[in-house]
Amino acid sequence: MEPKLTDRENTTSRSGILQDSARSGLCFAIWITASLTHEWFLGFLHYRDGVDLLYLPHSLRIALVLAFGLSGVLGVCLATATLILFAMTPDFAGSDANLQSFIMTATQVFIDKPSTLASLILQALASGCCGWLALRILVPGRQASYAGMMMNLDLRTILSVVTIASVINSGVHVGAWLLLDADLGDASARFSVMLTGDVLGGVLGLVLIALSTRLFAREGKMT
Amino acid sequence: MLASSLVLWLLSWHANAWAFSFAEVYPGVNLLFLPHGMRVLLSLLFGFWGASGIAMASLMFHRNLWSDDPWATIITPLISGYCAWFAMKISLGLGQHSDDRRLEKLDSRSLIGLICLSALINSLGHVIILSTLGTQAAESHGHINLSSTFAAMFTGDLLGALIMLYALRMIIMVFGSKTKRDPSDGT
Repeated sequence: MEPKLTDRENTTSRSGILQDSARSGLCFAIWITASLTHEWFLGFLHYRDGVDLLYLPHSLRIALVLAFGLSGVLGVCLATATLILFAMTPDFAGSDANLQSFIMTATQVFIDKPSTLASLILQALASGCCGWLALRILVPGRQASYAGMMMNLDLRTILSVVTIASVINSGVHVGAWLLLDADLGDASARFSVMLTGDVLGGVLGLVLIALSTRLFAREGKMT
Repeated sequence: MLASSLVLWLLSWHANAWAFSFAEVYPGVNLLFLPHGMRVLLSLLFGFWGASGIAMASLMFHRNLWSDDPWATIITPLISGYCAWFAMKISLGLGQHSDDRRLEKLDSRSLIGLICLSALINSLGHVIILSTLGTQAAESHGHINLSSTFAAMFTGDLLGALIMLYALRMIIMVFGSKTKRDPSDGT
């Protein structure tokens, strides 16, 4: 009996890992799509690279954690790291570029300036973890039922979670940029614009997501 | 209530201007504006009269900071005074809770939501006034970037209120637990 149980356990844990990986992959794709779409539609709101006065994807940092838990965190972290890597190696967009040259360029950048790697990791972690941290701070001990929260998001929860997530995200991002360039002249302006953009985009996006979720739930009940 | 909120607001405003002058971006726009916490606190404690005290203090002492326009002189203090009271009415429910019950209902989420909403109303209101009636500030600073001013004001209000109210909460918790433990109080 014992080997059978172990097999079942192994299968269960393997399918669990597969499910989590699929969720992370989905979140990765959603974040990349949302970032590029935002860049395309609302690029005129740029203050500096990565700093916007209205950043709608910030709402996804919280929504993906609510929907997928830690898989969402991992997906957003990896997607952010990928986008920063692409931004660091502009040659990748060229016609003769390939994956090998991309990796070579990125590795060379990290060897020449190790703080670049530290900055990249910090930015990726801030982007992925800020929503999860804000939820852990404000809604402690309810991780299992975060998905249920999506249906009952009220204004005070949206405002408070978005505020804390924005403070964490913009604070760590500016810290990471200061790692790269200690003489960053407009650090305070970047911080204030990023914080404002995250709050405005996060609140607007989450209000829209909450309203659509309720609308779909009502439609589902009616049919 | 009106007089005490007026005095408290003036004290906090001048203390902040003295202590954090290095964080001033434009006249009246500070990247760390602790008095916004006082706005929220006075509105929570004294309700409408607390907000009126702040508005009155702003009207009496801070006129002509941004504009000579008579409308701006009247409207700006009203925004400054009533933003937290208005945000409180929205986030804690319009007319649903009496003055006594709103403090009972206040948890971390409500407080942070209230701070964020009031900062948003205040900075947006001020920037609208600046863009429409703020001739003096625009002349003295040449070209004012409205989006940067809005972002700086919002950040200052948000961070200032968060820091002030959570510092106050920690002080109350520390002193509260000390008072409870103190055997000399006879309890």
